[in-house]
Amino acid sequence: MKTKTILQFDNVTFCYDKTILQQFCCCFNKQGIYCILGKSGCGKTTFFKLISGLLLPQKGSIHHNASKISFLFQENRLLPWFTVLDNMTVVNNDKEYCISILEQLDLFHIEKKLPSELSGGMLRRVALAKAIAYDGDIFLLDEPFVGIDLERKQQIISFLQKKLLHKICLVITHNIEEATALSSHLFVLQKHSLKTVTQNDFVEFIH
Amino acid sequence: MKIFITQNKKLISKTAILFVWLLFWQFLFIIINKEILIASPIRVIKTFFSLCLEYSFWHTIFYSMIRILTGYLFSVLLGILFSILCYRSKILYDFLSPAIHTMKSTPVASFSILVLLWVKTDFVPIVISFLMVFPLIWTNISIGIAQTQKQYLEMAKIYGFSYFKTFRFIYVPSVLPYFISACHTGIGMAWKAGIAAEVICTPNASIGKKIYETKIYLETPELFVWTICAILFSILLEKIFLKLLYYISRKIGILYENKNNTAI
Repeated sequence: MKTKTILQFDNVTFCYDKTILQQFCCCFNKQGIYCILGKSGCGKTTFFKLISGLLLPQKGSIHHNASKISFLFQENRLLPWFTVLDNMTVVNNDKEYCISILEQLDLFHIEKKLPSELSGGMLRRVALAKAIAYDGDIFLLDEPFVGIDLERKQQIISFLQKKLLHKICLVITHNIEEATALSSHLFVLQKHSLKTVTQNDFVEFIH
Repeated sequence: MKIFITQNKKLISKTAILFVWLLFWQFLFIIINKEILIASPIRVIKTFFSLCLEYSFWHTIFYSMIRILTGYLFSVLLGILFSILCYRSKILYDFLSPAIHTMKSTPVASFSILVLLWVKTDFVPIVISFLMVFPLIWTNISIGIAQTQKQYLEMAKIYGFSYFKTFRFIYVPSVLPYFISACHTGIGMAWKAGIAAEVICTPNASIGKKIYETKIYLETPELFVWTICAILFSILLEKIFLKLLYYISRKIGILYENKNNTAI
């Protein structure tokens, strides 16, 4: 039986010029989608980079038992010299699986196109497809719906809810409608912890 | 059909431009009217064809080309190797950097005379073309490596790319345009520097020696012929080498092109 994935922050402190996290604690021990909200510059992307190991905490420690982490970056980070399909097979050798993801996200018709030939919304979907193709134990999705139209957004949300049912998936978004459609677990990132919020609380936090 | 007409137009316009320059040359010759200062185009063309029939002409060009290409290939190989080593070791980069910058600004003449004290005349053009091209290859590849986007390297780290995979799929495509540009400029540079070294050291069977002899015997038409040959062979080498480079890159799968067949 597969071990349950756990992600835990213990008294983590991280600063640039200003303090982003201070003695920050949180724990995710149940599979599901968690939406992280917060004002711009509050450290949401830094939080993801700390989880993925791209940044190291100055104090405290981060524990997880994931062997792979799928990270959808804020920028698409698709290799411009590869086609859509090659961008996916470079992270997962199983070509059939990559094609099936493209089909489910309605992207198969562009498999041979280069990123430079795609629109912003399509690029975002391809980047998302790539993160899914990697099939990590933890998913970090940084603003996954930027540039994607409403109809597609609905389709992707139901796809993610099915696909990531048995993973820990953290999603950064600024859009409360997106967040509530995705999950009932809403958090606002604060210096010391993640504060559980409702839709109404969130409006208060933003203003 | 349209492409064919466009290509034909280009050829006609190029021929016309060449013809205008030949006319200008002839005009200058008529005005100056001293063959020792400027040879007539007709005489140069005649000399060229008569030289083409001689075995020694091709023998000379072949040996000059072999010497210069040897130096050039060494500079490409060592340029690649040292730029990678310098990327891996900051100490090596700091250590080599001043030497390579000195190589860049040292005149060919100084190098040729200095190298002549150490090696046989036959080897001087090899060493000189190496010394002229190596800094260019090293600099361009080093810039290419430094310009490799951090965001792709972060992506590679997250998605668990091995060193080889990161090198092959991120560094090589990022550096390739810089490398090709260096090779392109370098071949002309090696040719010019190599011939200059040959003029100074006069090794047997070399274009440089032939140019030197035309100076001694005041054979201006031959000087023109050898100069034109040097230019023509430089262009030819450049074209062959670039085609070869693109061909090899495509064959080993490191050249990525879009639908217009332009490298990405």
